[in-house]
Amino acid sequence: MISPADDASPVPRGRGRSFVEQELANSLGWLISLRWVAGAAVVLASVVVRVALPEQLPAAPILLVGAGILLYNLVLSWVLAWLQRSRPEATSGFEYLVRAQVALDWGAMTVLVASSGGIESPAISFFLFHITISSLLLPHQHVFLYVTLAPVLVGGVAVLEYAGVLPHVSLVQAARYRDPLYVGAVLVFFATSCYVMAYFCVSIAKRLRRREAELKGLYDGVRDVTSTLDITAVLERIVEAAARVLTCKAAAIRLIDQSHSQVEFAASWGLSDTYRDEVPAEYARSTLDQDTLRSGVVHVTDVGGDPRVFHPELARDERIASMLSVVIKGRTGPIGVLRAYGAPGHVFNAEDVAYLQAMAAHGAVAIENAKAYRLLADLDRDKSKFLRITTHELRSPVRVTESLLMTLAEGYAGPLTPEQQDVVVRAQRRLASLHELIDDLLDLAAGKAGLEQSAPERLDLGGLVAEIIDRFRPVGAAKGVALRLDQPPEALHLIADRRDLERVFVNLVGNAVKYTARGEVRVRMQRGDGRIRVDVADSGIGIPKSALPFLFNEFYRAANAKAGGEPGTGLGLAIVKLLVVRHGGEIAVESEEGRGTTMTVTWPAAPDLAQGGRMPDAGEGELIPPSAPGYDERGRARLPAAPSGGRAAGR
Amino acid sequence: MAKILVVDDDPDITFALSLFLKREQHEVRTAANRDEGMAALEAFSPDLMVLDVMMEQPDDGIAMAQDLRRAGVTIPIVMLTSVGKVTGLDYGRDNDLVPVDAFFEKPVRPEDLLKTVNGLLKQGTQGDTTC
Repeated sequence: MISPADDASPVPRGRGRSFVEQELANSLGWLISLRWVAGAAVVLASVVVRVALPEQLPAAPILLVGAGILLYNLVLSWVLAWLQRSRPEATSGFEYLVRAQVALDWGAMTVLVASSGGIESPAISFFLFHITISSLLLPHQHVFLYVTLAPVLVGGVAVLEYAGVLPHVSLVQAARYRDPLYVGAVLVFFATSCYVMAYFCVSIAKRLRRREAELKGLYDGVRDVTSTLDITAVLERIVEAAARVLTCKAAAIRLIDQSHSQVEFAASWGLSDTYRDEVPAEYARSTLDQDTLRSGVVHVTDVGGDPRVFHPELARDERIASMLSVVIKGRTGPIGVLRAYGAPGHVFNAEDVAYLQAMAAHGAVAIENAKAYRLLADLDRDKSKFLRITTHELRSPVRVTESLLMTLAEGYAGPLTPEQQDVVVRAQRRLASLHELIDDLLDLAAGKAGLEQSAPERLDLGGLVAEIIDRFRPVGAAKGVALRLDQPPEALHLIADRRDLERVFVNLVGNAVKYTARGEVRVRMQRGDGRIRVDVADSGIGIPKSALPFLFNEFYRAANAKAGGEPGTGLGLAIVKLLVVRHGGEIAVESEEGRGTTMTVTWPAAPDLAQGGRMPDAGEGELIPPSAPGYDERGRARLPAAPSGGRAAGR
Repeated sequence: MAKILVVDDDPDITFALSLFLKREQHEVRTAANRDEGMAALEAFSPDLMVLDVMMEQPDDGIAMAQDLRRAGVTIPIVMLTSVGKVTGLDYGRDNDLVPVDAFFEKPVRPEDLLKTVNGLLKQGTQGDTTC
């Protein structure tokens, strides 16, 4: 037996046309095709009547009915085509069209019945056939309304003919249209047939619609579980779908904590806040939840008389008469309960149990996913915290020691002998290497962990690179390496974090200068195809072919770089690659041992200036005169000091 | 010659800073945390303050600078930091958030800090007509 609950719209609308709606549109088309045949048949029948039964039946009204059917069918087919073309999502349009069709057909058939013998007409059986179609197409509560119209219309014709208002045409010899018993019997049987037929059809349609709603609920559940980690949203969708599919009053998910002491509402649909607040949250008091966890399924058919229901009066106030609970099983055991609540008169059946269990399985997956995600997020947070603390703890002592040595070296603790000065300088150099290693390591770790906050802005790459080259000029000049910059006359813009880019070019230019004994380091910038390309080329020691594949690996240093005695951590290029890739760029290397190395970085140019970009003039860069002071002694040996005191904010 | 308060929980930093600030004939008082710093500020009424970002809490120094500015303290503040980027704060750019007059990333190069300190003190003296 199907519950008498509202079933006008078992699934929420608005997410594309459902299976039933699609079916509705298809059926409309099918009905219109069928009507062409029916109209033509009626027209043909009028010809047959004129030839074979000229005495018994008037052909003209029948011909008119046939023509009328064909005419309104034409209009209906236009309307259907228009609906399908211009408003395929508007399901109400299709519903109105179904009602219009049924009403027009009802009218046409009534006229046909009246002109083919009234209560004696064999055409009244057409109504039965039409009821089958309309009970599948119309909303269920409208079906019986329309069905009532059929005996009313046929009865009306019979009464009017009986009373002599309408002329009667006799199809059979012994006319019975004035025999009250005959008229009454035909009408009763006809009406009964109409209702029975409608009931069967509606039952079938209801089951189909329920199946569709079930499938849709399960489908949505699967999609939600796989597409979101918002556990509350998923659980709320599950309880809503469960309540709608089961057409019951409410549904809820109650989850139990790990210690099995509390069981609380995680999501509910259709329950009042009062009810949610009043139902006990202590697991020990909730016999219903305990039973469900133990036996898997609990069906309370009479809330008032079942001792397991803690607050029967509360349930009565909430208009809850029955409850169906199924267990939600996690990987390691039961984690909660999915419960459906029925209003008075609602009966849960075996299908409902199966469906609730399927939904509970979805809920379990969603909850387990969310738990796993939360665990990962916690781990990630711990890792970030660890990195932050390590950063401070490792950097701090090194920098403080550097500060102390600087104070000593600069004579603030009294004058030093040359030997003492030498010792201090050596200690400072080693400390600078350690400082660099720690910075690189932590930058890399923080970068990989996504901890660093990137602040992309529109940058003039030429200006930025020129500034970095200026920083290295003194170093290059000291060893006889000239630095050149070739750049097109117009500015090259890209969107990136300034400090990331600085770090990239400090590394690339710094390496080039470091591993070049004499000659030049040349930086060339060009634009083309919406990209900016920067080549950093040197005439230095080059990189052995065997080392090239590993160049961007962490801690890797080519053998000739290590042998050269230059300090280095092997992290610089790994960081460069990380930063280049982070800003959507690419990095490549070309090198020949003993001849030099070219590192090539390309980035997408800033969008609005990318169009119409031209290849640059291969104009001559400036030649740097080799005359400048030597190494900066402070901090970072590879990074010469900025003109005024490192990172002191000049303001 | 000015009165300078150095607030840093690292005794080696306060030691080093005292050493070279005193060499420059400044009067130096040190404090190891926020509370000591506030007390010293009352008792010592310095002309300039050097403040570490991270003390007992990761942002003690910043909170202290904000409190001081809100309380109407206008003396120059030089902020020391041993973390450039990882805290997520871009110290150099977030001026409103960190209301100080200069930043120094450790290690502190004495020459540079003295230059900045003396520059800030000079500005202060010029602006202050009561001196």
